[in-house]
Formats: sequence, structure tokens, C-alpha cells
Amino acid sequence: MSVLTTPAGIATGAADALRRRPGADVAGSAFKWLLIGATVFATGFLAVLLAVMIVDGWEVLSGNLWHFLTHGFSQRSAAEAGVWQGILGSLQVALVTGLFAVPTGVATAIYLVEYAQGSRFARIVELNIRNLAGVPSIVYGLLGLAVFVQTIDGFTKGKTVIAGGMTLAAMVLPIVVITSVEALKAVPDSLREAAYGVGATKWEVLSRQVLPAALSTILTGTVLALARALGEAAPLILVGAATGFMSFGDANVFETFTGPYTALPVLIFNFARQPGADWGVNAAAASVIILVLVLAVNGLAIYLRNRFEKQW
Amino acid sequence: MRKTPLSSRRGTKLLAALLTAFALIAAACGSDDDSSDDGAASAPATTAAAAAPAATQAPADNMADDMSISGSIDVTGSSTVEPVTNLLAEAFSEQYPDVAFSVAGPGSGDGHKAAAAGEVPIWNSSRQIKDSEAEDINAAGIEFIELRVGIDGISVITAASNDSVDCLSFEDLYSLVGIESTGFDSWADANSLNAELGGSGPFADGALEIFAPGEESGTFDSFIEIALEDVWEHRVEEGHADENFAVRPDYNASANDNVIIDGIAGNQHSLGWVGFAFADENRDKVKLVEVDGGDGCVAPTPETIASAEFPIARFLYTYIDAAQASDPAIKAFVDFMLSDEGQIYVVDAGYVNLDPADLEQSRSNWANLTTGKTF
Repeated sequence: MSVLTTPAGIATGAADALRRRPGADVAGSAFKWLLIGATVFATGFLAVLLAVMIVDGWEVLSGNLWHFLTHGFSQRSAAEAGVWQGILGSLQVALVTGLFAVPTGVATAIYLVEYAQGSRFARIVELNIRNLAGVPSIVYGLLGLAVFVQTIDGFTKGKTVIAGGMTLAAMVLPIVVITSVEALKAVPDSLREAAYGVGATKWEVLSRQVLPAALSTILTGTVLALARALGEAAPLILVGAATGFMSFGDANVFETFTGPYTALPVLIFNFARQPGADWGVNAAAASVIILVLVLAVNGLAIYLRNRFEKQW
Repeated sequence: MRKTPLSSRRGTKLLAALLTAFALIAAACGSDDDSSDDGAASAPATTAAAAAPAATQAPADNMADDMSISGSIDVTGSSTVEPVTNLLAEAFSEQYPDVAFSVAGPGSGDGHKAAAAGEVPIWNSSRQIKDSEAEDINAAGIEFIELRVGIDGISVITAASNDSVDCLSFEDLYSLVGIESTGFDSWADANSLNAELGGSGPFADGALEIFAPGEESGTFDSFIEIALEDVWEHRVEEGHADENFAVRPDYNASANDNVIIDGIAGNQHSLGWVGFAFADENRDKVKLVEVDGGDGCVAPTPETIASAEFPIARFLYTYIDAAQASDPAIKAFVDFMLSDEGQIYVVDAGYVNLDPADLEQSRSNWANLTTGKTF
């Protein structure tokens, strides 16, 4: 074989490689099987969890589902208790969370990336926000109790949907900021430069080019953050979600935001601590329902990504 | 890049659609049972929390007298008492649908703390309020009315399949779960301490696994106070026991009673304690051990608990902020709680009714708005 690789030489080399293949790349195939194993373990774990919940909750899911979805909590018997207040409360809390976390988070990200890019201040803020994303949710519950429930109770009216939503907003805010920052950073600089090049102002560049381009990723991150908020029980219990019986009284739709509330994860916690096995069935069924809800929200995220995704 | 303005507008539209959908779902669910106030929706949304006097916007037509009470009632405190409040609130709501309710059960201590912070008008406790807690509440300018609402027996339990133990005395319990039993892995380990205390041992041997409520629980406090304290204090005086802790730290503590029941059921020689309601519900899994408080072995039953023959029983309390006692909704609810009908729910929740003298005392406290500790 000559030093200069001829087409024939390449062919010979390739043939050599092919001949060497069986058993030669041990590390490579071991790695591949390790990856397959990890995948099977991860998905298998999820599948078993789902299967156990569906089997445990089957009695309610198959026979009593409509009653379960349309009735509030009842202490009288597991069969009378339902989760509609929890579904409503979770959606209300998620709405308030979204209203507070999304504008604040996206605005913070725009400032950090488009205005303060690279400055020492921006780097310090970003680092702190990344650390905040790892703070346990119960800590946000304590924050919510001290600030949203007790200090600014003139605005939140105490232990209400507003206070719960703001607590979860504080919790998911770092996630919204981080995903939005990444989304904005992923928009190529050539786009900004081209826009500036044809005389666009900073406002025009941001509102017409950069934000639309980053929209799909921002939306996806936001919806995933809301999905996380939907599954939280601990902070909500701390800031006063009802674990037991609750009713809205004569409150109208708007007043329910400043009245008592509960949420699906809080109801699951409540069902799980009641005496008797039939309450366990309710807990499992409610878990399946919250899973469906979270899957729906994640599905929405995927839809949004596909709908608005841009190819460069 | 021509397309971006378009897709941006699409995005805005989609977001608006999503928010509208959310609002519609909330509206559809929220208007479930208040068909009477179509007009209220167009009025500016005021707060539900500020308990409106009954007189405002009570539609004159076809409303029964008692249905005109509105307002909101927020109850927190003991998770043991919570089921009673849940049942009461549920029955009360059927009679007074305009009253908003929120019942929670984080724990007795949390209830007293919430009261001191002025957060709740009514709070439950599975033990009597401590002097320090009463001081904190009074320091916040709040006077409370104390009511006894029922009795809960604490059951000492082991696995249903455990034939080797039927009855335990307070000395036995101390030698198995008291501070001096720290490190005992088997029942036989406790025999020498048990003999020293004059207990009923020696015990048949087996791996000793203990499942019980954690420190935040009123059940934990009450068990120490009733079953362990006398023996423990005696041992402290003699210099044998730590004066700060009555219970061994090395046991399986859980705030979830079902976890305790499952732990007890899964270990043949287990030992633990839970409220009578939980043990009674799970007689197929756990065995309710008889307890000897000095007058012979007594099994926990509603009768022996009410008559105080069963030695480990505790009173359940509800406390009310005296300043809010005149609120129409709160007054009607507490009246209902202390009524003969209301007292049925104490039994429905798995507890035991007070003897008539205690119930009378609670009723007179409420009628006369007597504040402070009265029992």
C-alpha cells in the first residue's frame, strides 16, 4: 500500500475493517448494551410505576370514574370522595403560576441575554438562578408562607390560590429563566447582525426577529415548568391548601381565586393517610389522573415545539 | 425570515386561546352550585375572604332562613381531629351551602402556631394546649375558647400473627420503647430492664421492630405523657435515664399512620402505637394489645375508652378565637359541632364520645364564651 491513499487503498482498508469487525470492538458493543440496559431500566421503572398505579386504582378508574372526577372530597367513605376540587385547584394554581412566572422569567432572560450579555452582573445573576433551580420545593413553601401568605396578605388574601400560585411561580421561575436564556442564546448572532445591518432598532430586532425565533423553545420550557408545578404537594400544604374537606361557599368564579383551594397532589397525600385500603385505591386513581394531566401538558409542549420550531 | 412576524402573531393568538380555555374550565367548574347569583358575576370581583355579613345580597326569594348565612371557615391543627372536622364540615355545608370551608391537618403544634399568627379562627389539637402555646397566642392579642370534643384511645399494636404478647403494662412499654431500651434489637434484650422495673416479663424472644408516630405528632406526645412519663420520671430521679428524652431514638418514625400499620403488619414481633381509629380499622392486619395501667389488663374498645378503664386515652380539643365567635358562620358551625347531632360524627370518625359532664363543660364554655384553659 502506497503512502498516498488511492481509492483502491481505501477499499482495501475498509475491507480490512469489515473483516476485523466481529468481536474486535468489544468496548463499543459493551457500551451499546450498557446504554440499552439503562434505557430499559429507566422506561421499565416508569412502566412498572404506571402499571401498579393503574392496577391499584382500577376499581375507581373502571367503575366509578365519573363520580370520582365530578365530586369533592368527602370524609364519609372512600367511594364518595372525588377529586374535582383538586383538578380545578391545580389548574387555577397553574394559571396563576404561569401568569406570574412566565412574563417575569422571560423578561429576566431577555435582559440577561440581550442587554447585560457577558457582564459580571449578568454572570452572577445567572449563576445564582441556576443554584436556585436546585433548591428543594419545601423551601419555597416556607418562603411562600412567610412572604405571600403572611407579609403581603393584603394582596393575596392569605391562604389562597393566588398565594399558592405565587409560591409555585417562585419555585419554577429559575427553570423558566434558564430555558429562556438558553433559547435566546441559541438564536444565531447572524440573525441579529443582519437585522441591525438593514437598519432595525434594538426593539425591532428583539420583537420581530429574536423573540419569534426563540418562541418555540421558550414555550416548551415554560410548559414543562408548569408541569412540574402541577405535581407539587409539599409547598402547597405549607401555604395552606386544604388537605381535608373544603367548599367554595357562595364564591363566584373570580372569588374562588381568593378563597380556599386544594390541589391534586395534596388530595393524593390526603387519600394516602386515611385509614382503610379503599382510600389507597383513590390515591392510586388520583395519581393516574395527575399523570394524565401532566402528560397532556407535556404533549402540549411537544405540539408547541413542532408548531413553532424554526430550522436554520 | 419573512415568516417571523406571522408566526409571532400566531403565537400570541395561541397563548390567548390557552388562557381563555383555562378561564372557561375554571368558570365551568366554579359555577357548579351557585346558580342563584348570575348578577354577582358582572359586579366587580370583591374578596370572598372578608366574611360578608349575612344581610348583604341575600336574595329574598325561596331562600330558607338558615341558608342565608355566608362567610368562610378555616380550620387547621391536629391530623387526628381532622376527620371529625371533615365530617362535621361536610354535613354543615349541606345545610349552609354558602359557607366556604377549608380544613387542614398539619399537626396539633402547627395549629397552635397558626392561631398565634392570627391565621385561623378554629384549630384542633389532640392534646391540651401547652402553657407556652397559650402564652404565645395571648401575646398576639388573641383569647381562645377551649372545647373538648371527643376521646381517642391510643392503641398499642403488634402484628396480627404475633401470639407471644397479649398484654403489656406501662413498665413493659417503657422497657421496650423507653429511652433506656435504646439499642435493644430483640424482645429478650429488654428482659433484664423489665425485671428491674417489675414488669410482666420475661418476654418471648423475637426481633423487636418498632413503628410509631414521630415527634411532631400529638399521638407521640400523648403516648409519652400517659404511658411512659411516670416510669421515666422515676428512672430519671434514680439517675438511670436521660432527662431530656423519654423515647428511644432508634425506631421507625412516620407521620403517616398507614405506614405504621404496614410496618407493624409486616414484622411478626413488631411493636408500636397509633390512634384507636386506625388500629380498629386494621384489625385484619394488626393486633390490639391489652394494656395494664395498674388495674389489670384492659382491651381497647369504645366502651373501655369512654369509661377510662382503658388506660391510654386522650381528650381531643377544638379551640376557637373568642373575637370571631360571634361571626354567624363560625357560631353556627360550633353550635352544630356541640349539638347531639354533631357529636355523632365523633363516633363516625372512629373516636369515642365524651362523658356527659365533659360535654356539658364544653357547651357552657361556648355558651358563656369562657376563655383560657378550663379543663
